[in-house]
Amino acid sequence: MKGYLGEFEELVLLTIANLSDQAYGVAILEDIQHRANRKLSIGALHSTLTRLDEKGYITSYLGDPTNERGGRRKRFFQLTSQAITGLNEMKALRDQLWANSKVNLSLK
Amino acid sequence: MKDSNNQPPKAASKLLAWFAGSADLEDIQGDIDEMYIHKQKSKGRLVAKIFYWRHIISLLFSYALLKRKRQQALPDYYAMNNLSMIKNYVKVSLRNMRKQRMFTAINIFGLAMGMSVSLLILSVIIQSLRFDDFQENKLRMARVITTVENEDGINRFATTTPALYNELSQSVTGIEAVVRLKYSLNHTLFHDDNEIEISGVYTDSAYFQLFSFDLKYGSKATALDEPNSIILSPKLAKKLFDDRNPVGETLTTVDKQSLLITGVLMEHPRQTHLNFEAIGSYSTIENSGSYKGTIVDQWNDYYYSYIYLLMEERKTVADFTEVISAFNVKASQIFDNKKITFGLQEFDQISPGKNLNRDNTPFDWTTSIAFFFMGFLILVPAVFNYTNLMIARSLKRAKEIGIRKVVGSSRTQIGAQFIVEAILLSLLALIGTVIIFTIIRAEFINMIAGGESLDLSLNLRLILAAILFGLFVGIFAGIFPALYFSKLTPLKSLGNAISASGSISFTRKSLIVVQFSISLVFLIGIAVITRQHLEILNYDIGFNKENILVVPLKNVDHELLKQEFVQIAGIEGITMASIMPGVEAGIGSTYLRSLSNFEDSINTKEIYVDESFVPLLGFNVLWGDNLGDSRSTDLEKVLVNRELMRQNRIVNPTADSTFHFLNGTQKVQIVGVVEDFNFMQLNMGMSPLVIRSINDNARFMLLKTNRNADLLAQLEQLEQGWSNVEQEASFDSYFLDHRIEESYTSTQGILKIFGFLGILSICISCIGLLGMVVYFTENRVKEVAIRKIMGASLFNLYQILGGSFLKLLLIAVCISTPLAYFFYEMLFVHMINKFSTGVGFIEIILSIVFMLTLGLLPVLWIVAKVARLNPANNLRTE
Repeated sequence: MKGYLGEFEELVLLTIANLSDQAYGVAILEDIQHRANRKLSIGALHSTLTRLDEKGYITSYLGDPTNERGGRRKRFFQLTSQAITGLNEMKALRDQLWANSKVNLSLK
Repeated sequence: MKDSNNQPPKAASKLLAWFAGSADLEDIQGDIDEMYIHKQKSKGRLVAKIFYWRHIISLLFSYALLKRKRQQALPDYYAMNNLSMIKNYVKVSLRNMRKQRMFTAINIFGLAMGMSVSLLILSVIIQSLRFDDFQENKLRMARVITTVENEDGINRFATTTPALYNELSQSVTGIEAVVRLKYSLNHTLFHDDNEIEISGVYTDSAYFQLFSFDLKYGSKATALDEPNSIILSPKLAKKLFDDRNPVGETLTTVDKQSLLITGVLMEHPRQTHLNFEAIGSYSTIENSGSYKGTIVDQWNDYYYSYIYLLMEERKTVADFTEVISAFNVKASQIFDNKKITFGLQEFDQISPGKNLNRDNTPFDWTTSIAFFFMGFLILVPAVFNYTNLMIARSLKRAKEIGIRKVVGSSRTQIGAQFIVEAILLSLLALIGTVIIFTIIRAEFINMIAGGESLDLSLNLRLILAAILFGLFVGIFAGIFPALYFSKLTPLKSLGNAISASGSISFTRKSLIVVQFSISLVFLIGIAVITRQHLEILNYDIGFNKENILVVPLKNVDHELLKQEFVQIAGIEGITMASIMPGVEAGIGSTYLRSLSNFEDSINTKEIYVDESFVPLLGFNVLWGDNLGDSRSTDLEKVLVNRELMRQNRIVNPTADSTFHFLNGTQKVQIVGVVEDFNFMQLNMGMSPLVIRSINDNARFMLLKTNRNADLLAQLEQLEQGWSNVEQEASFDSYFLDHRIEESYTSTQGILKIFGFLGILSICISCIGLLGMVVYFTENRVKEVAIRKIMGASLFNLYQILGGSFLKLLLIAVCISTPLAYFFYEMLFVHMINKFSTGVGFIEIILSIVFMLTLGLLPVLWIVAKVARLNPANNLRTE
């Protein structure tokens, strides 16, 4: 489908993969902030999630009502097989480029 | 957690909820709330609040929210089935129309009539807005206009003084070219033994530099250089020479003037205010050697010349304010009894124009707006018909609406159903509209001024405009039923809570009243204008116009002719005149001043007649005697009218004060005063008049014929006599009273328009009323049957069924009679007839009777039908 996968989109997809069945909005946001040290608004994150959904990389389902959110349900995200293929292609491309690099890329 | 201070800011979440509308945000809202709680625990309430607000705002502009909103607005099933929904609307509409053939027919017919006139008027307005669009220089051209202030008030003219031409063309920079236009080219030609009148404009060679007209034959650069050269319009060239190239040929006019044809114009769009059949070179009039007058005379002559100028690139009218104000200063030095100011009017502002005096564009804004208003007044009743009948059918439709609502239709969908129905109907009516349009088009063009420059043939643009117009009318007509029906609650409409027999609702009643009020205003208009027209024709214009035969002289030797005509039996008298009295034509202006007092002069009209003029037409001589034969003497003896005496303030006509200078130098003696008579059209008013002895400027011979003489034989004899004297020109004659009647064509035109619109409007209203009555009585068939069984007489039934409609019509009468009276009395009547006695009772009463008769006819017809039914048949079912 829409083959192009942006850097931030890739980051979000991998985070969802890391969080597995706990991948909902706040968790993804905090994980990215923690790991990548990026300031990120909830609007920006959800926009990206919406785009990924449109491109068919993720699906979502609503969880059970939770007490701490005033009874509101969480929306959990899951990778589709298309996302896994996409991530793999991305990784393969990167590995290939790393391997082929004429410049020494290792940090000492 | 229960502490309300721990809650996230309410205003923020409310803002988000409001912004999101019905979009589902449960998960996102949950996410932010959760983050707020985390933040509050770690960083405190204030930071958390700021944090919360920031995220809410980022959400407001996020794609996530946009997408969710969009999804909500167009649920999948709806987005996919949009087309089929419309298909469904159309299907239901068509079924309904088929079920209610009568109503459909009434609506289509009514709308078609209303729309045809509106479409016609719309296309006229559109055309008038596009006047002179084809002129390439339209943004660089301007016209000099003149404002004159004197004791009569302020008058604004589209014309200006020809003296400005030299000033503008010689001493002003920034102007590329200037032209003078004088629409005084009038010739009579012979062609194939017929007289052809041609009228046109005298202008300078620069004409073609300004205006985008091309020549089919001849050269633009030189065609207007020589005096007596003429360029023909393609129509005229075709008439005279077929498709031949006539350049170089000579036209000879009836008065033996020869004109050299130097060009033929190419066909050009008709929508221009520069209307002409021929263009003559301006040097023709300059060379004719006519008296040029003093400087004052030249500046004073601001009635006939138009001056257009072409500004250089990137100059605007504002750049010439100084030049113009210099002219104003000059004018103020020349005139002391009036103030003349000049101005520049941008070319694209000329048509539709600002209602200037002597403007040559047929369309000004006032007329356009008046037209628009009239079209609207015809369209509105037709639309009301639809609305009225639609709501009248609510009983039958209510069940349908109820079921649809129960099944899950939204209000918009119900509304859409009715809008689609109305649009469909108006598009069907559009077919009828176009048919009526093509039928009435030609007649309409004849009725309005400037119609000949309109092109109302059916072209693509007009068809598109018509379709758009149909859509607009559909929406306009459908909006009220749509609102009404979408408001119905299913419970009510299914439970039969909408009363069937009950009286017609207030809205519908008032719609009928409005319709008939409009019709009555038109009808009273017809009556009023007819009366004014008759009044004008029967007005005592101060002389005897019956049995006067007018013969245009066409440069025939009138002395010889007179000798021929005198011998004919039944001719009681013959006189010669320079004008046709009562018809405005060829009346010259001059000024009169007394010998002793050089300051005061009176502007006066002058006519030339011979000594038998006064007795023949039966003028009332108040003082003095008739004209003598004074052609040979230095002192000319003249007659004047009473108006001149009144303005001159001669109280005691002693011998001394009867001597005057006419036109500056001609010494005259007033030898008689005649009672005022309307030598011009009534509306021109009365002005001072000097009646002079005729010399060789006779244009008409007036013959008084015997009432009892055999007219045909007389005419034959006259023609015989004519041909004895003149072989080339043909004999023409007409009766003076017919000519006077014909000269009031403008009132006839208004009469025709009003008559047409009035009939249309009353027809539409009656059709609507018919529909209402049909529906109303249909619902009461059972009631009628029961009443009949209980012993109601036919009269009782008429009273019960027709009474309410009669009441509505009477209300309409009460509303529109005073309105119409004031409108016509205050504005209209005095516009078409300055000497009117006003609006009379007879015409109002007649119009009311006419309207009531027409309005009650459908009521009586339908009521009679219902009342005669056998009650047993109507009660049997159930």
